Amino acid sequence: MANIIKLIIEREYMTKVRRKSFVVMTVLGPLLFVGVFGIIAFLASVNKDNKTIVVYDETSLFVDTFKSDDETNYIYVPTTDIISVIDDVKKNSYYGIIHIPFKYNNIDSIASSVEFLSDDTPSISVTRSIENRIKDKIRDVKLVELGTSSDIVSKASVTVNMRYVNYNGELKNSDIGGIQIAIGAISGILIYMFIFIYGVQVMRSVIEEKTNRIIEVIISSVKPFELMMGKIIGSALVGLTQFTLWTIFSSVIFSFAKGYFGLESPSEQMLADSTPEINNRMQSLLASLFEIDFTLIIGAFLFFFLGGYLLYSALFAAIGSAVDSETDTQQFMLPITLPLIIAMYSGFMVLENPNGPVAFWLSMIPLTSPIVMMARIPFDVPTWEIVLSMVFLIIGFVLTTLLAAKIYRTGILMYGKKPTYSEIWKWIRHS
Amino acid sequence: MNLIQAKNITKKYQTKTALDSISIDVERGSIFGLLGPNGAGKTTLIRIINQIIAADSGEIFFDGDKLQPKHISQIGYMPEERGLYKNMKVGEQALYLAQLKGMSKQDARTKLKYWFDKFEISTWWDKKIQELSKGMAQKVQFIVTVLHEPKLLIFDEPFSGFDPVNAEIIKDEIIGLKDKGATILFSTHRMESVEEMCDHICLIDDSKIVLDGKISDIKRSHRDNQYEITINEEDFIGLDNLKDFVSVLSNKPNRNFKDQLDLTLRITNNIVPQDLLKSLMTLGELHHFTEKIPSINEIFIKHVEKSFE
Repeated sequence: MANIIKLIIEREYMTKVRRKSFVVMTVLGPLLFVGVFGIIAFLASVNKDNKTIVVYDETSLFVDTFKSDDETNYIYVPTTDIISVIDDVKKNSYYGIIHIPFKYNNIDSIASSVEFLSDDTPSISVTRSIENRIKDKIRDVKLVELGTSSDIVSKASVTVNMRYVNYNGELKNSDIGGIQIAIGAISGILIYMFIFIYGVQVMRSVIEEKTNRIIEVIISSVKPFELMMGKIIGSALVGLTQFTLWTIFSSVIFSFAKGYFGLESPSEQMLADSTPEINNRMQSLLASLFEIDFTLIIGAFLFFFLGGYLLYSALFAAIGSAVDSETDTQQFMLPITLPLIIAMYSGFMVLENPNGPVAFWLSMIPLTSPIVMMARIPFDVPTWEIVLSMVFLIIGFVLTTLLAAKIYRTGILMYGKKPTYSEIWKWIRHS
Repeated sequence: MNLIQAKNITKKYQTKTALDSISIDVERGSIFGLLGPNGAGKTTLIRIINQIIAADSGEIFFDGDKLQPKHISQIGYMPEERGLYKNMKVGEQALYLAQLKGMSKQDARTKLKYWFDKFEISTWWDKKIQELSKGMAQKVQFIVTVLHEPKLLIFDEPFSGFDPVNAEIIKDEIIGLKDKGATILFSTHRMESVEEMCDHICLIDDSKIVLDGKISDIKRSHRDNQYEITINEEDFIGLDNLKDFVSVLSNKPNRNFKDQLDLTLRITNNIVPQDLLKSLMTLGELHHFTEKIPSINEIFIKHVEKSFE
């Protein structure tokens, strides 16, 4: 029996791997991945494009309030003629003008009459930052007016750096949230894609054997269950192969692209820039990377990746066996795709509140746990929850496989009309 | 000694009974024909013997043992609905299917070479099935069925899809396999092939056996005292003298000679053929005299019609 399953796995694997679509996807996948990544990076850099904002300050109170930085360049212009300044700004297609009217330097009226002139609606982050700077400055001026010495005012300014600590008093890194979200989201999405792509492939392969009518020859030699399991495992290996090749290709392409475009890896670049602030941030980012338990994440990823796939592909195989052609699958696909889609969308909720009730329950139910638990795992999930979820997934896999095998055994010999749900229920009960 | 012994096999589907307490014995080294109209239950019985589906009750013995999964490798099965993997190469596919039947790769390769040479299809080895015609694919399917030299070969409608030339080749191969000691069970609608090949037939209709036995016995029991004769037209009038023990069932002019008549006669039970022959010879010239033995086709139709009534 073991030998027979090996043969089936081997055939399933070899025919799929040799297919043109596999080769094309294996090569195109990483290119697509790198391409999408590149487009996002490009868009982000375009978005960051240096803005030039003209400061038209009639009060001369804000001489050093607006300091140019990486993102924004502030130009102070003489306050002679606002019309010509506008013309100038338009000609150079600058971002806009901050107009601070004179108002006899009455602080309160200045605060209420500051204007931002531009043709387009300015982005919220820009206006907020400008407002904050003006507010801070006006408050300082007011404090002085109210009798505080300017020395004291400047001494009173502080910067707050909140630390993130857990209940045991261990320091958490403030950057960790972002990295965890990224890891959780990426692994969830990968599992979702893998289940869909390879589950549907199992279904197609079942339909193919049925429409080719070879099924009867095969099951006169092997048990339907062996055939189904061989198919599922064979496809899983194809998926793992593709995934491994993608990882290798992607890293090759990345390193090639890096060399070609003369990019340096962020850490080197950051260190070279060596402003202490950036340096600190980089170090804290690195520190938070070290804080994440990658052994756990990779191990759990492989487990949930395979567990989720095995569970769903048994169901996909059952659907394939019940129908004569792929067009008939629609009706039966819904109950399978629904939990997957729920898992995927609730994933966003889970990323926001990784230990909330939704996250907990969805990561226990085997139909949603592969995606949801993977999204949670970077956020320190208690070990007992992970273990319990794994146990449930294994139980879920065994039960769905038994159920699917019952449908499969009857379905593969049924031709003609598309079965109804009640007929499928009878197959389950009678076999 | 029987290779297959099926006892009281019953199989019910949700709405209908496919087999109702069917028992058959397939003698070793014989060709057993399973006949019956569409939907009679033939394929269900074949699937049960192949262990594709399980019977609700009854048991099957293979070579004296209770039928078990280990017997799979001793059975070769060609289903009515033929099928191969369309986008797999012929040779690879044949090797795969042979290995599923428990053959070693090496053994399968050697035997495949023998059969491919025999059918002169060695050049197809690297072709995909989808490049072959239907008849060509059928040949491959036949080879795959018999390759592992099973004790029992089961063919469901083996000749459907073959042109007459290839059907003849397959027929000769099946008879050849029987001569080498294989036992063959096949179901068919083609009565002439049954007549030519089968030693034993079993007619199933509406989930029950309506006729079962050796072809010779069945034919003997279906003899109906009928004789076909050809006489000169002018002598026909003389038959009147024999009407006490002879009745004329049909009367047609001979195809070749317009002045001769082909007649079918039936004699009563109390006389023997010699008496009929003697009497006929007194009438005049007798061109043809033969006992009319019903064809399997006629027997088939008679029995199936009977159950319709």
